[in-house]
Amino acid sequence: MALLEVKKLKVYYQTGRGVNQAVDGISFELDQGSSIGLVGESGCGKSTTVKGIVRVMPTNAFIPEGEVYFNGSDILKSAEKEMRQLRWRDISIVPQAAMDSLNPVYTVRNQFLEVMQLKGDLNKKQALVRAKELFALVGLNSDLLNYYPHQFSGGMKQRAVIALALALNPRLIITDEPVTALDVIVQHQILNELKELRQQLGLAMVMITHDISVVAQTCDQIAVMYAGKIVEKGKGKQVLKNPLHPYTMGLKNCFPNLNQPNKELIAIAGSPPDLIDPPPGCRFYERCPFAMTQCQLEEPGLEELESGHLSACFLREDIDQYRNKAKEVETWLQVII
Amino acid sequence: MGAIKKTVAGISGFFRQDKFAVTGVLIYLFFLLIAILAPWLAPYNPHEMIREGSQFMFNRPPDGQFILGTTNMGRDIFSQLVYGARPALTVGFSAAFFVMVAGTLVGLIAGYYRGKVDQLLMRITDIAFGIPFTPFVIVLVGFLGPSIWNIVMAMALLLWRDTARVIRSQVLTVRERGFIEAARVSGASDLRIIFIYIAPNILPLSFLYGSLAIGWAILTEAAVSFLGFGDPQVISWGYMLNDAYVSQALSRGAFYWFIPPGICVMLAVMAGFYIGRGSEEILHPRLKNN
Amino acid sequence: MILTMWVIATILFFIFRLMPGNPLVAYIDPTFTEEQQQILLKQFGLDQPLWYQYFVFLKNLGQGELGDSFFFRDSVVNVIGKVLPNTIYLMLLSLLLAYTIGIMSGIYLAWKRGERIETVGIVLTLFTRAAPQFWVGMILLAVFSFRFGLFPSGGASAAGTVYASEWEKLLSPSFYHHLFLPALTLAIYLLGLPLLLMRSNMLDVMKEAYVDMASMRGLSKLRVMLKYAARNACLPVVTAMAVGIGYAMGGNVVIETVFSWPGLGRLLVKAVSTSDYPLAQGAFILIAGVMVIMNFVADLLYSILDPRVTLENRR
Repeated sequence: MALLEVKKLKVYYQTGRGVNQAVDGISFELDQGSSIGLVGESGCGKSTTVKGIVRVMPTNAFIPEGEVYFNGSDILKSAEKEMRQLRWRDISIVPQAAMDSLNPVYTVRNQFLEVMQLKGDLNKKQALVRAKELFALVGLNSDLLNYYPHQFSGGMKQRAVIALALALNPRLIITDEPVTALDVIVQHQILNELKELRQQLGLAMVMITHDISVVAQTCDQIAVMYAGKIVEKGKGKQVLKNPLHPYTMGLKNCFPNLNQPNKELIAIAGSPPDLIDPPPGCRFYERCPFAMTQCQLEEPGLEELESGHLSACFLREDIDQYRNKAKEVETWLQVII
Repeated sequence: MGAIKKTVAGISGFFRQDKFAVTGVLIYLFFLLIAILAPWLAPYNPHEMIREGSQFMFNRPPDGQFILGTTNMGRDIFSQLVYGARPALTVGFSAAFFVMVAGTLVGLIAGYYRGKVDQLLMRITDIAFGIPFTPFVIVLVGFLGPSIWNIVMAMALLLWRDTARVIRSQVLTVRERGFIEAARVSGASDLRIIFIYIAPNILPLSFLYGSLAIGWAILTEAAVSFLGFGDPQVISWGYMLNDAYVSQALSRGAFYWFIPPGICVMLAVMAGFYIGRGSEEILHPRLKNN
Repeated sequence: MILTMWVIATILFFIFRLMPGNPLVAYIDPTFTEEQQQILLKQFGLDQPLWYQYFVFLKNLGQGELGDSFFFRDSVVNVIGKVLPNTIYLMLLSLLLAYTIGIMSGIYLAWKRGERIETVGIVLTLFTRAAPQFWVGMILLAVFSFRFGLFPSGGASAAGTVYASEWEKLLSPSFYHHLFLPALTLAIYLLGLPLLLMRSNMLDVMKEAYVDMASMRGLSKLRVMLKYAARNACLPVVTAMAVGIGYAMGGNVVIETVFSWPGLGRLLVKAVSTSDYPLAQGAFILIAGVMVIMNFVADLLYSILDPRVTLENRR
């Protein structure tokens, strides 16, 4: 049985102009101890997905339908009180803005102890021992516990936030752009540490990032999201090596490739559609270099083209040919015209 | 001409998008109308001690003849209330005028020249902020003598400080914009840049602060008059409240006497709040220090 | 701070010296002979040139010497010393009431964002900000004191009684009975600033990542609201207290008069209306001094409450 199973989850926002269909029916599964990367541009609904799963959402957000099974039970149906029990004990989060995720007016120690005493039923002494242990685990000097968040550097804060996420031995951690704000060297260190920690502790992980190369380094599975939907899903290597969806192909061009560091980076022209009134066909239609008439009229479903590798695109044959074309700058330029 | 047009457009655009501001303007227009039409609206002379035959109409509760009753000296309260709109608006608008002119000038000059001039002017502004407002007005009016113009002057001497600070910081941003640079390159003089190019951009803001000042001025005039330092020739709302207070209207429970003038003052102040950024400044007050 | 005080003192000095008429008018009895008047002028140093008087004035001020009151025929320091505690009690109680109620209601209104109660609360608050303080005091007096007889109508003690000492006053229930209505009036006026400020700060802070994260850590809503949102939102409100004290000082003047509260504000009004220059001068300088000092205290408090701010880098 999967540890986490998200089924056709939808998270919408009520806005002044209408309903924004930010997350529109996504599904994925995650086994105990494995990891999945949710990849996509900002605004594609990655972070909203997380908020929906743990149900900490802005007041104008709501979940019209979907199921989220954690350890076999549908947690979307459980009461807020039970949800609160679940948060951090079973599912913890390394947030997008680690910089701002600690209360600036309390010491780091205070916030560690708070969680462990209130949620972990440890007494103060035990909690302090555990906090020191955690700091050692992520490579921070335990004296730093007495500092205020603003006295930490970016990398230190990120480590502290990871340590805090591990505090109660959760079974699943969700990391939201865990290294985006850091410089490249620190990024690599932290990603490696995260990977080791995860294997060491047998944690399952959902990693959210816009940088496809980051997931490559850390995740077993990849789900590519575009405009509130999953457009491609498969094993990490499969998706990276043989992308099936034009969007994934484009996304690969946007980030430096470690094997070809001198390769030119190509951005995908245009921006995602307005999700308040999304177009009827494929949501990537406007920006897709291989778009066909059919794409504008009909929405392609997610289909398994290779074993365990799904794509939501009408291109189902001769994909190699498109993959090669997608490597050319000209291919992406023609979309603008 | 273009500059004036732009200013007018800026102000009217602001009013159109802000319902609060419209409400405030309507309240002021209402009082203005009352002030102008006072002789026709008021059934009696506000100073007159009314009598019927040999009988003085002392302390009459409201009835058909006296809408709000009479004072202990037999004066018609409603008539006093109507005439009270005149000094209120006089004080409010003239204080606001001085505040706008002085505050805007100080802010413009400090923000435009920066450096030493700015430091000096802002130092003076800081000191003005250190002076307690109501006590200052009382002391000044108390010693200069009770007249409406002394009250206006005393208020104007301090109230410009808020406007100056806000205008200055606005000028600091405006002066960095491209068209100012262009004007400078084309050889426009400092004065020309300040008044033709920068001023139109900050005028809406100084109007907003001016309208806030109207409210404060009316409130302060009421307080000063209440304390007995008001102009004895002028029947203002503050004077009415003072009159009611010293004439034991409270112990007699003559609510009809002291409630209405207070409501008028309150409405006038609220109108100022509403216009002065109804939504932003009042609902989301920011610290002036920041 | 000292510069500000110096400028205020200087302005005051010239306002009082350059007033039309002889500053001693109030003091001199018409029956005094010319000679007696001259002696008096000498006694007050008013026969000296202006600049000399000015330096004497500054020197005395530096030593805490404010001259003699014409009206009370006593030193200004003594006269003020007697009433200053009353003003401070009044201010402390009303600030306490206003900031406790204001901050709590601000949190509440932020919590109830978008509900009907929020609009009602804001409109009510705007009323309290716009209503003249003395008028609110009059209504409270007319209703609670004259109509229902629940509170005394003025003063700090029951008619005919005098407190033997400051302690006895503070321990006497009657004192608080007298204090309550004026403090409430002042509090109603002061309430608006912390309330509106707290509410808008809460709305800002609630968008911060650490508030969301606190919820994600499974902490209770109350805890998140208080420890994470409110604790951070209240920081600027503390600084606002400095501004609040300024308001309180102004409000004091009228409210003390309405309730015949024997405090600094009423003393100032009395001094001005009896042309008692030295007393008015002393009372005003003290009021300004309290304001300047409270501004400093607010800065200090802020740096204690917010670890990110040290006093040095705020200067």
